[in-house]
Amino acid sequence: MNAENSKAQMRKGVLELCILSILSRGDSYASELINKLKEAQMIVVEGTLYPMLTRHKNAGLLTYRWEESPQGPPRKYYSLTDKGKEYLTDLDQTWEELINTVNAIRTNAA
Amino acid sequence: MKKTVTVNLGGSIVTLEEDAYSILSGYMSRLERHFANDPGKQEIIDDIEHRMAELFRENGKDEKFVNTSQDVNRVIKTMGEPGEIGDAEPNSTNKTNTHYTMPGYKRLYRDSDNRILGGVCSGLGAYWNVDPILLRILFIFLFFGIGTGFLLYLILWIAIPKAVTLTEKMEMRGEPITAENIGKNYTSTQK
Repeated sequence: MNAENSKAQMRKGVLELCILSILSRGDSYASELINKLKEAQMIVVEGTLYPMLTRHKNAGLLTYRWEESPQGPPRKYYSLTDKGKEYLTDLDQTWEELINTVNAIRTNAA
Repeated sequence: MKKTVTVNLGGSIVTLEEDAYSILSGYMSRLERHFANDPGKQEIIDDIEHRMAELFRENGKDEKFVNTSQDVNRVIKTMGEPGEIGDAEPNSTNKTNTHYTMPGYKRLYRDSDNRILGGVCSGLGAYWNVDPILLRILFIFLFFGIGTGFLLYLILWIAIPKAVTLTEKMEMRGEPITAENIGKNYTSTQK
């Protein structure tokens, strides 16, 4: 067994929740998301983010618009749709429950 | 001294050394293959290209900066190999290898770059993949032996067009006409 592998799996599972949470506080573009996620050590390689954004956009949870950037070509600004907000509320709730139950199990209070 | 290649990466101009370019294009085709059956393939790859261009810009400040294979490897490491990036869409049944190149379309031209007289033999040699010297010997033999050789040569000289443009020269050798090959041929003629 490899602890690194398990840790990576855990992070991967909550990455979606993190991305949607960041976007729920305001629109953002990919490199800004990457910086925040890297700071939090949520992603190891940057490429992980892109398939995720595209899939959530195709599922109608996210939408984007092009905006000029001070340097380089225009950027894609992602924002949550109403459907995405609902989806996030759902995930948030599950996360809360998960923390509680997992902590209960860990401290043997259940 | 190294040749350089300029590419359009996600809408930005990036200049690379030739070996750096081949590392980059290898990476891009691994990505293409990985997401081959993903409905969001084009968009994912466009976004990744976009970000890579950004990383190159942060490194080099402007488009005139020439990126080496070291720079490319660093950017690839930051983006991650397809296996690290994550799974392609679950319903995708990855076809093994969708990468193919267009076979070169071969045409007969006179090769004026390697000519002795009119470039007929070098052109025919390129067309048949034969050493032109063998054809030249054959023509000389026909000329002195039978006497019709020179007439035949004249007819071919008149009938076969000379390869003038790069595209024609590539058709003559049967090279696939891709941007990469055109770039290579162009840079080598400039030398």
